[in-house]
Amino acid sequence: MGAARGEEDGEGRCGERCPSWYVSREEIESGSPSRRDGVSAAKEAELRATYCSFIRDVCIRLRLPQITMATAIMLCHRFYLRQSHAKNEWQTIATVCIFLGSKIEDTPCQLKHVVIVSYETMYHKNPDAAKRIHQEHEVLAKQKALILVGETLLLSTIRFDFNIHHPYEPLKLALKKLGIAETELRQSAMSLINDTLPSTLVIQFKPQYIAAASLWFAAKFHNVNLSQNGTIWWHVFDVAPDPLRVVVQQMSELFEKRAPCSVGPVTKPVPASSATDKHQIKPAPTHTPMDKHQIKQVPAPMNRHQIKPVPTPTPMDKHHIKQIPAPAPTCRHHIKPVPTPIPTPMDKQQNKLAPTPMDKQQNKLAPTPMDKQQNKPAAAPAPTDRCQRVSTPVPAPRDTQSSRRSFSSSSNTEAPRRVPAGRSSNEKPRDRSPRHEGHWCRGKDGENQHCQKHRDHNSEQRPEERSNQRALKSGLAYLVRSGGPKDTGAATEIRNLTRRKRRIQEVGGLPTPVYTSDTDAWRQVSAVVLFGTKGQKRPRGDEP
Amino acid sequence: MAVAAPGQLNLDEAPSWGSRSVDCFEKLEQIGEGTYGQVYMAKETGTNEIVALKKIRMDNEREGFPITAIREIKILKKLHHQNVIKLKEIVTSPGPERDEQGKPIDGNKYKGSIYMVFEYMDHDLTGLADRPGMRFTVPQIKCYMRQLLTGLHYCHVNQVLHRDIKGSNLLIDNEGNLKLADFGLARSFSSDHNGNLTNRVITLWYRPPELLLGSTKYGPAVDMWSVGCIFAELLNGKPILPGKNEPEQLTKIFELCGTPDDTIWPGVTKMPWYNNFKPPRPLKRRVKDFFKHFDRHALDLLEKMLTLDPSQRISAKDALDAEYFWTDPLPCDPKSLPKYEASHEFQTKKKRQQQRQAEEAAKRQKLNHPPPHSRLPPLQQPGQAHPQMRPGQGMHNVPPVAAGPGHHYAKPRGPGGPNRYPQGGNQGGGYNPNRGGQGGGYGSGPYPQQGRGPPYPGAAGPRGSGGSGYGAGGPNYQQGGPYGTSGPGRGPNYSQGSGSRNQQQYGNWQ
Repeated sequence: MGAARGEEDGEGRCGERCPSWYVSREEIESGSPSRRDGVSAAKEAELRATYCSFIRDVCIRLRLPQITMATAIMLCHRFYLRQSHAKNEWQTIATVCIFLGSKIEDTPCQLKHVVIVSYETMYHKNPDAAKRIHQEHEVLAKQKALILVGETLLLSTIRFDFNIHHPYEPLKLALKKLGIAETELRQSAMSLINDTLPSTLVIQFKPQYIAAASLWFAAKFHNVNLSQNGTIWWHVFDVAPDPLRVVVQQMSELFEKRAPCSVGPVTKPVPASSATDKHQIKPAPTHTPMDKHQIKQVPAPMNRHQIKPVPTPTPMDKHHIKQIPAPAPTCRHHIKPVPTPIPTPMDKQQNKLAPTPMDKQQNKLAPTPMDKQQNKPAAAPAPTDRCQRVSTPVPAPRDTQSSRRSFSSSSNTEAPRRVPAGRSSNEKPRDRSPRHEGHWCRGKDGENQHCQKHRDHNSEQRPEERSNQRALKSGLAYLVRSGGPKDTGAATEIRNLTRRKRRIQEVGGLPTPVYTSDTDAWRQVSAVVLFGTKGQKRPRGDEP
Repeated sequence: MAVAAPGQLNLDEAPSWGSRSVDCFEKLEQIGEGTYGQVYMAKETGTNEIVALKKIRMDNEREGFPITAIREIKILKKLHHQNVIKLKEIVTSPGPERDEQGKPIDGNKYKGSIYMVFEYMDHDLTGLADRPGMRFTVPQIKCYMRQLLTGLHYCHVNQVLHRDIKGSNLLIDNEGNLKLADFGLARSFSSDHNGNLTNRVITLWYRPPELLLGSTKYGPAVDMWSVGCIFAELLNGKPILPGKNEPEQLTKIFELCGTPDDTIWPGVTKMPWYNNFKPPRPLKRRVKDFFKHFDRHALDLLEKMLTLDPSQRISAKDALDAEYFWTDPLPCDPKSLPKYEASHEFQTKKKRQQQRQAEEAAKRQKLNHPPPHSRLPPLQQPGQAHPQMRPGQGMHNVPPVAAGPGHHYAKPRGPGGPNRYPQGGNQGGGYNPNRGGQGGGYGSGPYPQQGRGPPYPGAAGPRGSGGSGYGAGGPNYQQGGPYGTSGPGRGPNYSQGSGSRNQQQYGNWQ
C-alpha cells in the first residue's frame, strides 16, 4: 500500500490543489465525509451498492453503453469521496452522474429522458407514483431543475475532471501485446472488471492495476499461462508487483464474501446464520467424497446429497418440494422473517453482478426451497435439460463448480511458482476467515485430488463450450433484434439481453416457466422492500 | 444513520477541495467576445498573475453544462506542450450572475457562471498582422510557422483535430512564443474511428475542399489546409481565399488550385456534394502563378499544404522537415522578436471603429484637418537585426492591401472616450456590447457551432481600396477575439447547406 500510495500521489501534478482521486482503504472506511455526519461504514457501503445498482438499471433502460455506465459510477464514487451522504440524496446525485456521464462519454442523453427513466426506476413498484412524472408537468419540471442544480454541484465537486479512465483500455492493450486472442478469456476479464465497479477497489487503485488483476483471475479460471513468451506479464500493464498483490487479495476477498462493497463485515451475524455456518464447517471432511460424487454422477443426485447435511430445515424443504403450486407465498414467508441478514439492495446487486455468489448467498441464508425448486426442473427429461442449459439459471451451478476449481487450480498453480509468496498467502487467509482455512486444508491434503480435478475440468470442456456457444448465439440473436446498448463485454451483453428479455416477458404478460416466475417473484418482493419504503417517502418530499 | 432527504443537496458549503471561485480573480479588461462568450484579461489576487478568463455560456439551460465545453476541457487537460495554450483550471461564480452595479441579473440563485482560466497571451496573429505598419520579416514568419506546425503535430500525435485554425486562434506572447488556442471545435479521433464527423467546422476562409464537398470521414489533413491558408496569408499580407459563402469559397479554391477530378483526387466524384458544386469548366492549377513572387522553398511547401486531395496533403511532421525551414534565412529565435503593444483582434477592431467615427465626425465638420495617417505614426521596428531581405521581392514588403470587400461590424457603437493603449487603465469600465441575441449559442441544435456570421455591410471602409500607406483598411475578419470565442464558419445558409446540417444534426452527429 505504501508503494501504491506513493505512485498515486505522483499523479497529482498540481500538488495540494489537485488531490488524487485514489485513496487508501483506511481513508474510505474512516475518513469519509459521511462518517463525520454520523453515517456508519456499513450504511455507506449499503448506499454504495444501492446507487451502483440504480445507475446500472437506468443506464440499461436508456440503452447507454457500458463505458458510460462505468463513468457514471465513477463520478458517483468520486462525489461521495468529497461529499456526505447525510447532505446529498443519493437518488439525485446518481441521476446527475448518469446525465453528466452520458455527455462526458459522447453519448448524450436528453435531460428529460434521464429524469423520466430515473424517476420510473425509483418508483417502479409504485405505479401511481411513477405515473406522476408523466401526468403532472410540475413534477417533471421540478425534477429537471433539481438535476441541473445537482449538476453544478457535481461539476464543482469533481473539479471539472472529465478524463476518467477505466480498466477496459489497459486490458485491451495488454491482450494485444501479450498476443492473447482467446475471446472467452477477454470476456471473463471484462466481467471481472464490471464486478469491481461497485466496490471501493476502483477508488483505491488505478485502472491498470484492476485490469491486471482481472486478467490474472481470468487466466486462472481458463487455465491460461500468461508468461508464455518468457516475458513478465504484468510489465505489459506497467504495474508494480506489490500493489498488484494487494489488488488480487482484495478482489479475492470480494468474490469470497460475495459482497460488492468489501468494506469489512457489512451484515451483522445472526444466531441462526452463525449456527448454519458452524454446521456447514463441520462436514468439511465429508465434502471430498461428495465432490467426487458430483463430478461422476447426474446433477440431481448431487443436489440431493447436498441437502442431507442440513437436517435443521429438512421438514420445511420436504413440504415445499411437495407443494410446487405455492412458491410465491413460500418465498415471501421466508424473506420476511430475515430482513436484517439479507440486505435487499445487496441481494439485488449480487443477483445482477454474479449468479454464483447469489446461489451461495441463498444457500447460506436459507433459500433452500428455491434450490429444490431449481432441482426439480433439472431432474426432468433431457429436452428440459437442454432448454435449461440455454436459459439463464443453468450457468449458475456450472459457474459455481468452475469458480471452485479455479480457486483450487489457482492455488495449485501459484504454489510452485513462488514458494515464499504462496506460503505468505497461505498464512493470511487463515487469519482472516475460517472458511478459507478449510479450503486451504483441502488443498494441502494431496496433489492427487488436484490432478483429478484438473482432468475432470478438461473432460467437461466440450459440453461447456457447447453451452457457451448456444448462449452466444442466443445473445447475438437478441443483439440483432433489439440493437441494444454497445457493451464492451459480450458477457455483459448476454446478461443485459437476458434481463431485457425478462422485462419484455413481464410486460407482455407471457406465461413464464415456473422457475423463472419464482425468481422474478422473489426479486419483485425484494424490490418492493427496497423501493416501497422510499416510494412512500417520496410523495411527502414532493408535497412541500 | 441520518441519510439525506429526497432532493437534498449540499449547496451551502464552499469546500476547499472543490473548484475555486471566480472571486479569486479581478477582471481587468475584455479582450475578446463573440457568439460563444466573453474573454477577459484578469489578475489573480493572491499571486498577481495575469490570466485570461473565458466564460462558458450556459444559455441553453435545458441540457445543463454544454457537451462542447466538456469536450474542450477533456482535450485541453490532456494536451501539454509549449505551443498549445494551457488550461490552468476551471472556476465558478458561486452566486447569481451580477451586473456591474452588483445586482443579480435574474432570480435564479443557483445560476452561476463558469470560466476557463488560461495563461495570458499578449496578441493573436490576426491582431498583430493588422497593426498599422506591421511587417513580418522572413525569419519571423519562419519562426511562427515552425511553432504552429510543432504544436499542431503534437495535437495530431495525440489524436486531436483542432478544426478551427485561423489567425485569431493563434496566440503570441511578448516572448515571441506562439500557441494554438480555442479547442472549442477540437475533436479526438482515432485510426479506427468509424463514426461520422461533422463537416460544418473550420472558419470558412480556412475550410478545406473535402469539408466543403461534404466529407464526414476526415483526419489531420483538414488542419493542414488551414495552415496552408495561414502560411500564404503571412507571405501574401492578406487572406488568399476570402469567400462570402460556401459555393463562393469552393469556387475560389478551384480558381487557385484547379478543379478536381478522379485523376488528381481519386474518389472526389463520389463525394456527397460534388455534383452540386461541379464547376462549369475545368480549371488549371495556378498556385505557382498566383504566388510566383514567393520564395522558391516557401512556394514548394505551400503547394504541398494546399493539395486538394487530403490523402496527398503534407503532414505537420513532414512540413517541419521542409527545405523552407532549413535554408537561409533560418527561423529567428522567438525572444529576438520585437515587443509589440497588446494586439488582440477584438481590440484592434474597436480601435479602428473609433478612428473611423472620429474621421467621419471630422469630415462632417468640414474642418481643414491634417491627413488621418499622421495621427498614427508607424511603430519603429528594430529591423536592423535582419537587414538581408530577398532581392526582387518587392511585393513582400508592401503592407496588407484590402483587395476584397471590407468586413466590419455594422454597429460601430461603444464608448469612444478612453484610450485603451495603457493596459489596466480601464478596469471599472469595459466595452460590453449587447450581442446576446447574435447566433444560436449552444441552443441551436445538438452541434451548436453553425456558420452564422453577422451580416456583411455592402460598402468597404473609407480606406478599403487602393494601396494605402498604412493598410489600416486591411481585411477585417468577422472573427471573435482570442481564446476561442468565434464560430466556425460564416456566410448565409442556402438550401443545400441547411439540408445537410439537418442530416448531420439528427442522423450522424458526432
